[in-house]
Parts: sequence; structure tokens; C-alpha cells
Amino acid sequence: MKNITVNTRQQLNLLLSEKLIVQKTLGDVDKLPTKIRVLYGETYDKYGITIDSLKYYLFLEYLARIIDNNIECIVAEGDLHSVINPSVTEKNYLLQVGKERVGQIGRIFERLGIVHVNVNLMSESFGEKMIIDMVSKVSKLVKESTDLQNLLIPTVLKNRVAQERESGFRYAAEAIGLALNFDLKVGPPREENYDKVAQIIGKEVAEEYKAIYLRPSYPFTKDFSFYLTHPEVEEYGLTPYKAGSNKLQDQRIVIGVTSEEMIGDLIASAYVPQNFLYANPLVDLASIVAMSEQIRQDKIDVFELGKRIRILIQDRGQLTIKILELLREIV
Amino acid sequence: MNNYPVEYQKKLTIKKRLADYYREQSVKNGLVGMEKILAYTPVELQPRAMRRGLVVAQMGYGDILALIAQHKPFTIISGLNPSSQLHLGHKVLFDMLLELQQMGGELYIPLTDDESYVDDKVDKLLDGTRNAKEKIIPVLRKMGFDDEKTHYLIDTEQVELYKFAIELSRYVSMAELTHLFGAESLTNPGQVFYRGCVQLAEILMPQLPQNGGPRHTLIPVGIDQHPYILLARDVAKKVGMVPPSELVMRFFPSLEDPERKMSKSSPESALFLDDKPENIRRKIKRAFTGAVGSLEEHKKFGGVPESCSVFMLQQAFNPDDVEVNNLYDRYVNGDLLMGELKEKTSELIVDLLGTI
Repeated sequence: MKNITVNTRQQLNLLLSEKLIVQKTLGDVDKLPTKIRVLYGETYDKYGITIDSLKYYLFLEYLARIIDNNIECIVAEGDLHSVINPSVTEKNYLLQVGKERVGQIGRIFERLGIVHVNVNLMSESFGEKMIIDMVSKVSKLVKESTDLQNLLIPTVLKNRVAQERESGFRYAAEAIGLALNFDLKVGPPREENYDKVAQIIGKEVAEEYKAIYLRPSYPFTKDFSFYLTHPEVEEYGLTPYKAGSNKLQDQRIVIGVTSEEMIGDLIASAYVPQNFLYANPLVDLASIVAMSEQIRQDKIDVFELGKRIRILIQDRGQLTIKILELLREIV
Repeated sequence: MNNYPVEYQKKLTIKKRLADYYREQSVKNGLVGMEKILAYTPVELQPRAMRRGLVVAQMGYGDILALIAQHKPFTIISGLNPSSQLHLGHKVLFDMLLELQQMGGELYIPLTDDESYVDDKVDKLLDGTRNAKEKIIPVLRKMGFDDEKTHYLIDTEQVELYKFAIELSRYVSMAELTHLFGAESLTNPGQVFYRGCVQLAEILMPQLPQNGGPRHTLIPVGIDQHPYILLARDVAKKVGMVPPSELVMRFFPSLEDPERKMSKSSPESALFLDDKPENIRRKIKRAFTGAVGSLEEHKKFGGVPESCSVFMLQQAFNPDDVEVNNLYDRYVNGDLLMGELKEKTSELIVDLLGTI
């Protein structure tokens, strides 16, 4: 398989080393074939599409434009996975939300010039034979291996470990099985817990498993002590695609839900540390604005992207204007 | 490093040993380094000792910061052994206590005259009590603490303290005490009772219901006192109180050797709060610095401020962050000569102690 070109690799390496966007990678991400399939999977809740999801959509498009046209990116909406947990109520409603969400995301793609990314329901993917076979292989391996099951324990809440063991870690097995059908996965850092297992299994059933983890998504808070008293949020951030993650939906921007006034207030009053590398929700907003600008102008330049992000983080007024303009376009 | 002058290598080695020591200590037994606290706390809410690196570790300090952020009160406890003659090492702590009090802390200062006696630091029990009353408390009252939010408690005069200590005695085993403090610190029954019960009672007493507890408490300590806090956290959980939070401070260095503590047992190595100006100037003039060999070598290679007892005085007491940073830069670049540093520092300390 032919590898990507030198220039592409330079831009890709620059992007992967931009700490304000990418937190870390798994596997030799810079050694990608010229024709690749990239997956970003997300579940959802009843609160809507977060601006943090938008970062992932834009990142996929940005990545696609760096690599070249031989790239296919999929946003997989985990409809069945959003209702798999027994504690979830309103299952039928949420399944319907999934279908509507695919339409909404498609419209966002059109308006932002995202042309290399498709969105579909994960339940539809699970009808494809290749994926069914892979999920079945993964499920079998997980059920047979206590070591693999132990590695998956951090992916579930402590009170659900027994239930997950009984189901053979079905959620994780399906997520891994789906991801192994792709050349590269993009996701939040917390998914590394799945991916450690995917990497082990990948050696047996597919090619080397590769993943890119974007910088965690953080809530807006006026309280400087929030991240010191919530170390898990500080380390992993919130689940980017679930607006109600940690019940902090009011401290995030939900597309079409959070009012402009509230967005202005969240940005203006957010306490952020001086060092950008610590938890800082403005960094995500700045990344979103900067990536969308370059995508629409069709001028992909990772070096300039980093500079633009740093300027925007330090100018909250400008950042607010740009975010509101962007949201007006897609709502 | 082999091309550097011997003196420079020596100073670098001291710097490395100190850094290694504090790095190792700051993550031991549940302690956490200060990196995140410093990253998230606004500079104006960082006591000077903290932002200058004199606080090296913490346990549960985020809980205290949450209260500070919400403008809610908390309790600070900082015991003082009244056998000590007060020196600048104590003043660093007092300055931090004052800043923390201004952020909402109610301050309790137990004066441990019982400890002075059981540890054989005074001849008679009453000597410690008298020292506390006549020498220590009057000086503490000049430190700027808010009288309404400061409690000076002489141990042997606190009947409630001893009652509470007896109550707590059931929650601590001899094996636990020996493990934490070592048999060498438990050589008589008084030491066992003091370390195992009284000090615990000093830490937890503000949390008794009659004192408005349970409540969050903060205890700034030297690294050698960490075992007390571990024990107190353990017992607090057992008796339904809030495990106290902790800030761990560096030892304040001796003027003669930055790797030793400033102590009254070596008078030339310490600057006492009642030292006369001429004594201050003499001691600082003779103090150990991070200068490198000859003047020429110092200018060429730069000095090592981390190994300098005089620069530590600037770090701890100069209120001007910009000036301290500037002195540091000039020091490492070889532009700051020790004569200038010592003169500046002498004036700083003479002025400081003149106000007490």
C-alpha cells in the first residue's frame, strides 16, 4: 500500500503536534495509506448537538483536506448505543432524535463546506456484513479473555461492571468492532480505554489500529477552583457529544439551544488559566472558528491555524462575534 | 559540566540535591505537587510563599480553594512550639497564614507548651507556658492577624483539648503511632500521648459541633509533619469529621548551609525576629551564596540562586515579584554580584524586622 506524500506528512505532523487541537495519538498515524477511511463515532442525549461535536466534524474535514481526496470520513451516530443503557428512559424518542440528528448534521456540513465527511446512523452500519463479522469476532475474543475484559473495566461506571461482564462488554465490543473496519479513528481521550483493547485485537483481526484523540472538551465555569475539585473533568473533559455529560448542559454551548446572550455570557465570564495547555473551553471555540475559516476559504495551513487559534483565545470579544456568526449560519 | 569551575559544579549539585529532595517528597504518601494549583489559581489568590515556590506539595487544598472561590469561611490551624526563639523561618509561615486569613480563614494557633516539655526542650513545664505568653503571643499579635479571627491556645490551659485528646485515644493504635513517627520519637508516655492524641485534638477540635464543625480545615506544615496530617485525616474520617487539607512548605534554609534548616540551635545560621540590625547585616554578610568562584568566573558562568541562602530571603520576603524575577535573571546571568545582593537583602530584612 502506497503511503501519503512527504508534503502531506509534514502538514499532518504539524497538525498532530498542535497541542491546542490534538492531545495524543495511538499507532503510527503519520503512516497512513493514500486511500483511507476515518471514523468518528458519537452517541447523544436529548439536549442537542454540542459545539464540541462541531469541532470533531470540522477536524475530520480539515484532516481530509490535508491528506487529499482519497479519504472518506464517517460520523457514525450511535442511535442504538445511545439507548443501550438500561437507565435510559424515552428510548423511542431518542431513536427518533437520532434520525433527526443525522439530518441536522448533514445540513451543518452543507453550510460549512464540509464535503469529505458523511454522517449516518450506526444501526445502519451494523447491517453491513463486514461490520457484523468484525463485531462478532471482537465479541468472541472479549468474552473469552478475562484480560481484555479487565482492560475494559475503566470504560464503565463501577456499579455497572457486573452487568457489562455478563453482556460480554457488548457496548465496547461493538464500538471496537466498528472502529476496526476503519483505518483511523478520531475521538476524545477517554476512548483510549477502548482503543487499548482495539489495538490488541487489531493485531489479530485487522491492520494496526490507529487513533487521534482531540484535546478534551471543557465546560465554561466562572469558578477557578472547578477543575481542582473535579479532577476527572480536568483530565478527560466532558463527553464531547453528550450535552448532558456530568449534568453540565447549562455550562456548554448546544447548537440552536443556547441563546446568543447566554453564549456571550459564558465566553465573557469563563475563568481560564493563563497557560493554554490546561483546561480552557475558549481553546475549543477558537479551534472551531479557525478551522472553519480555513475550510471555507479553502486555504489549509496548519501553521497559520495555530497562530489564529492563539489570537482568538486572547480576544474574547472577537471570539464571541465569530462563534455567533458561525452558529447563525448553521442553525 | 566537566568544563565548569569546581565551585560552579558544587553549587549546581546543591541545587539538584534540593530539587530532587523536594520533588521526591512532594509526591510521597498521598501528597500532590503544586503544578495544577498554581495553574488554576489566580495569582492574586496565591500567597507569596506559594507563588515563589516555597510551598512544595498539598493534599486536599482544592477543597479550600473552592471555599475561597465562594467567599466561604474555612479554618486554618498552625501549631507553634513555644520553646523556639522565633526566626525568619517562622515569619514565612506567619506571612502565609495572614494571607490565607485574608482569604476567609479563621486562624487557630495552638502553642504547644506540653510538647516543649515532653520533648525536653524546656526545663520546667511552666517555662514553655511563660514563653508562649510573654514572648510568642506578643510577637504574633504584631503580625497583622485579625484579632477577631485569631485564636491563640496554650495547650496546658485547654481542659477541653485534653478531654478531646482522651476521646480520640481510642482511634489510634500504638502500632500506628510507631509506624508513623518511629520509636525514637516516642520515648516517654508524654510523647506518646502528645503525638498520638493531643496534636490530633489540636487539629480536629475546631471541627467539634460546639465550635461550629464539622468544617474544612487547612494545615500548613513542614514536610516532617506530614505524618501528623495523615493520622489526623484517618481519624477525622473515623469520627465523622472532614479530613484536614494540607500545604507542605519547604524548610527555610540556614544562612550557612542551604541544605540545612534555619534553627535556633545554630544562632549564626538564623535571623531571629529580635535580632539587632548590626547582627542581621553581619549574618547576611557571612551567609552562603550561589556565587561561582572568582568574580571573573561568576560573571562568565552566572550564579546559582537556588543554592543561595541570601536569595532565599529575597524570595520569601521581597514583596515585589518583578524585582525578585529581575534579581534572579541577573543572578543566573552573572550580572548580580554578591555584595549588591547582600546589601539589598540586609536592608530588606532590617526594614522588615523593624516593623515587628
